[in-house]
Amino acid sequence: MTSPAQQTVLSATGLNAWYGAAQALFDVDLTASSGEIVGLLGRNGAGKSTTFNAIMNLQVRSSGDIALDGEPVARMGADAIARRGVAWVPEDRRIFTNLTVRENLELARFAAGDREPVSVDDLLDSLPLLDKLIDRKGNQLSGGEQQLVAVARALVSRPRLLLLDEPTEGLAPLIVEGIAEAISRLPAAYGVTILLAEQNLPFVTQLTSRVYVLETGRVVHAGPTDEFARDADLQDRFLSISMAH
Amino acid sequence: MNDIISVLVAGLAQGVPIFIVASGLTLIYGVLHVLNFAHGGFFLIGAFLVTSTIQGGSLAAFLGSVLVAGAGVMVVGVVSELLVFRQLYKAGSTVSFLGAFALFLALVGLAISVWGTNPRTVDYPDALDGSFSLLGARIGQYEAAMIVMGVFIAIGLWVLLTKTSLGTRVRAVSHDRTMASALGIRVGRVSTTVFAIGAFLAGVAGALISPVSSIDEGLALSTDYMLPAFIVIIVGGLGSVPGALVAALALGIIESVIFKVAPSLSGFSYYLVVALFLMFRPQGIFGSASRSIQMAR
Repeated sequence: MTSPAQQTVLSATGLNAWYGAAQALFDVDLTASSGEIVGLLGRNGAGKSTTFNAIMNLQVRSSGDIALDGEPVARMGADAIARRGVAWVPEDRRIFTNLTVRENLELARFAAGDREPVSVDDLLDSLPLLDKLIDRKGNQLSGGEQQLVAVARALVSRPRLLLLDEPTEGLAPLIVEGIAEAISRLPAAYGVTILLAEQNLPFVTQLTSRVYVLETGRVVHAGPTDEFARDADLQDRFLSISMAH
Repeated sequence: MNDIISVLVAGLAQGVPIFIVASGLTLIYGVLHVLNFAHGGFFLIGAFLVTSTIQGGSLAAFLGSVLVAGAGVMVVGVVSELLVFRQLYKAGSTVSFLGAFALFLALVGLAISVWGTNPRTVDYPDALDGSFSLLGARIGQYEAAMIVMGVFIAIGLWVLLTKTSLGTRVRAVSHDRTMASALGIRVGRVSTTVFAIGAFLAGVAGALISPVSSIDEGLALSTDYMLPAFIVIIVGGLGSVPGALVAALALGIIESVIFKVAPSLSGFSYYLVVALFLMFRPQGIFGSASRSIQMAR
């Protein structure tokens, strides 16, 4: 839950987005406060990734207001938004497979803007699993390893807001547990606020304090995660997803 | 033995300027995904610029003119990228190709209006106007210098692309512009920089061939340099700088051998090789399904 002392990091108001002529988001309102992990739930095609694309001003035409720590960023280019402290880990990770892991990490320094970037050595200290991957090319990594690198890359710039898009997609349960544990430590370790898009309700329940539920591009529910997790009717209506993850 | 060395050196000397042109072409393709037909115009202007800027026959004067030509063409390239290509990137490959062809015609027209249609020549630099003996074969000093220049440029490109921050950004943008942008990289600036490097290389190549070729507007689409350069980037693999190097030198040597043993077939080797590649390995020697800049297989 957001306490009065917490500062609003992300505020999106009346967010609409279009792919060509097809509207994919309708008047979406979202907030996330400092240190929070906020869930964004919904079925495939509900608009979770589109919400992230709209925040990053990538791949969609959008309208509405987006503010980062009160500063409007809606009409900025993606590179400028990144330099202001928004990091994006897309669903397909988008590791540069023609670069080594070290090069992937060092590239993210360009998103640091005025902030002091996290050094690769410091990242290796906090994510020791990266150590054995550091000189491998991106195309030599497994899905779980790519996810780890994608999250680590996002942290290099010391972002204020991390957009994590389905980080458990396609990963084995054991790896999902490790990822959940790693994500849970990020706000305290890096001072980052996280918006987590997922279909995996147990994963979201474990990590988040509040959730927004999207359906066909609209926010259809917003509230505390534990309340949503206890309400089977809401889950049936808006998710109809397996609890067997 | 003499003949083998002579043919080898002639082939390498022919391949080097083709490599320099092709490396710029393949860099631009790798990052911008545009087949820059206007490259022939850059090459032509580079050659013409040397005829106007060279002062005296010293090696220093010649090298100075080569650099001035490269820099001049780089300026033309940057202006072209900002004014023309920026409008074409999102228009699809057909429109981009036609736009590049229109720019090519404009550059050739510009060159004709400035330098006329009479062929021009440039003398060898005094220090390279001779030959020496290598294992019994007579080797032209300028040919040897051209090969050395090619080695330096290949090493320079390798260092630039693999050992510098700019090179990492170039390879990232060539692989995934969207993700590069989301990591704070100014993709437009990287694109313009790559275009500038490609244009510089085309200008340098045009300048380097000025002592060995008659300079007129026909150079812009010459069968000695420009058409082979397009073939080289296909054979080497689109976006592959090492591929451009290997293909240019290999094709230069093949062409040199054919010229020696069957002169009437000279000129066909490029087309034969590219036809074979398109049939059996369309991605080229070092190419992959991806169109990004490759610095290794």
